[in-house]
Amino acid sequence: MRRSLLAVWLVLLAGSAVRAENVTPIRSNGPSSNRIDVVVLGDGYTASEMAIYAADAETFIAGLFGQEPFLEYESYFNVFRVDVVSSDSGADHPSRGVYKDTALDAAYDCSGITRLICVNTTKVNEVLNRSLPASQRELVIVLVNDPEYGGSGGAVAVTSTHSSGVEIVLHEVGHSFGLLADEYDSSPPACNNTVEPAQANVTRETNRNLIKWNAGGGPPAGWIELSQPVPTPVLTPGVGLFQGAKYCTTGLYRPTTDSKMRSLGRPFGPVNVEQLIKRIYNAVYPVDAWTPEETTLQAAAGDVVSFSATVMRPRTHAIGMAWYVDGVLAGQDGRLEVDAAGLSGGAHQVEARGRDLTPAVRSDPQRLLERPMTWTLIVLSSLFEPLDFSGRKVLNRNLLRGEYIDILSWKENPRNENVGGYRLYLSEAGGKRLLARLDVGAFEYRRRGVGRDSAATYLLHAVTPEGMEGPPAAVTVR
Amino acid sequence: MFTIRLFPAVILAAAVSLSGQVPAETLEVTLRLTTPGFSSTALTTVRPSSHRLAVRSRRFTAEPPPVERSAELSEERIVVAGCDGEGREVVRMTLPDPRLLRAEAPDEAGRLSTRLLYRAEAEFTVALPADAETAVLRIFHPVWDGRSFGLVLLAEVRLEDDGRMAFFSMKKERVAGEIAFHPERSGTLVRVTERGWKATSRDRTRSLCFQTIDCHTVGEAGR
Repeated sequence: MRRSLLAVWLVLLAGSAVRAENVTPIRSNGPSSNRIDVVVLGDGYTASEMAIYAADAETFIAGLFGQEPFLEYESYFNVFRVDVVSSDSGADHPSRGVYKDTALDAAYDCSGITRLICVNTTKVNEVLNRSLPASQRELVIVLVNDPEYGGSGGAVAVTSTHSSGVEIVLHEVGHSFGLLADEYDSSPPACNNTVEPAQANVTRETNRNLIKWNAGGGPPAGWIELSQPVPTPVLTPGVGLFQGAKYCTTGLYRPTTDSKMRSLGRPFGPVNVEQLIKRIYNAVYPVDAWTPEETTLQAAAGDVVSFSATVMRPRTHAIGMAWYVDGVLAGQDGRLEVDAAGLSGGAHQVEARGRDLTPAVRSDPQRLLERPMTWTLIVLSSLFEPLDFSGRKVLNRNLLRGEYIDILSWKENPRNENVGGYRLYLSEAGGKRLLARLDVGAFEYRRRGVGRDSAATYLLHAVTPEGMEGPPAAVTVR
Repeated sequence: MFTIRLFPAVILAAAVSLSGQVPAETLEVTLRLTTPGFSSTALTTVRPSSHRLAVRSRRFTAEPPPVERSAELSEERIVVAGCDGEGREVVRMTLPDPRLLRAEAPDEAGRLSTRLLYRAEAEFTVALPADAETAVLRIFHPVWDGRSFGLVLLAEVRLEDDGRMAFFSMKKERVAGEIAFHPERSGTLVRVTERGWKATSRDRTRSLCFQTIDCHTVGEAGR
């Protein structure tokens, strides 16, 4: 730990020497530990163009979250804008002999492809490392200040400010974030229809019961209506099995006639949306936090214990909650109050499940859309005072001298269900003093060496196995 | 004064985080994956199979590492496994393959086409739980065979205790092991296919750290 703290201190020292770029949260929806953090870096924006960059970034992000499923789940994301300042405005176009001095070295004509923009990933990493922790950059997007169509995909999505920029990035996010395949059928890359693809949105399977987006052979878990022919003729509405996908004109199939993974400007389509939502839930729990944080709780019979869930908030639907006490449904709201008086003494299980009930996800075998929580609630038994608590003072004579003893006795109260023992106190001015802890089978106590003329008041409590005291029985011995 | 004011804040953040369910601190390690024989800016159309991995920098932060609830694999991602000094796997995560560059564009008719390119040199940062005592990082590339993913070891790097940064190189023929994942149970290791070493117990097949890689130190990393 000491070494860790030293390292943090060293980082801070180093950080003060190299000035980090200004970072502005432009969507703040919650803690990064349960959000997907998007980082936008600008390239080719000069110091005097920072306002333009801010506006471009806002337009871009608004476009990104203008389409499903990102529209519905926008609150699951944070977005940070990093103000990267370049010396020159624009980007390199080597084929035209145009070269600009920019912070991230954005260049068209990358690898001889006119519309491919490459950036220097080492410089991108250096900016990121100066600006944000690694845990706050799940999606990195570089916005290049050039209106000409261009971009690239991969670990870092790159786009120009061309009006198609949002579409390019959404398609690339479909790959890098959603793990989706291209649904278009043109080569290159080479077609390989000899094995089943790994991706969720392409298949070579033609048996409707085995198609990966048709779990159970159709609704409610699958997406292909029973009336839909399989394979499905092109231009047929709805989800089906459309031939031509992943660079193959035959032998591989896609879920819809067209989608964003096939053509820019189209919606993702139900199967891709389902996969993207599951990928969102790969990084985000549907419940932000639970209270109480402790998972083992104690309550006396008269206590009311409150439980609550702070749930995520999709745009148009709610996270469903279900609360169970000992396996019995006890509530479906964001909070639950358990009256311990209604429970027997001992351990009880309180379970909660928050689940996104969106109809956009029909099959979730890994239960990514769910977050369970379990508490153990120990209800302390009701206790009553011991019965017939009495005392007497006796003289105990021996060969040398006499000794006075207070002899206390009591009986077990049959109303007590669960007694772990007794505690005997001596009442004193301003309080009481513990004299003895007694086993559950004890029904007499002798206090030796008391004064002949003194009086003492004794308090006797029954105690649960967990240590909770019941009300006292009292006796004064003179 | 600047650092004196910030330092307690970082400690406080770590302490607050300690009370929750997440690790208090993250060890961020920035790595450089290079391909011998290629210039640093080269792009290739064939995925490189021989790499060197070096630590570029590392730092501790108070933020917890990102959550990954399901290690869904893809050929466009890499798997990073952290091993402790005893060879136990202490952390596993997936990241976008930093080598991959997708060149996609529509033609005049709006039809998309793509070319997949690979950077000969790529940098990326991994966020490790700081308390995991990671001694070695191993980088794997998932390969899909139509039924399951195999993990091909690309490279590994040792994180030196004394703060020095060393790197190891691996010969291609020694990177020929595959570890398979069940396709229906993403992320669950169920079998090992062997092409370069022998797994000797069932427990070992569950770890990405079990095999001994015969690698050799080739020098101190450049920065």
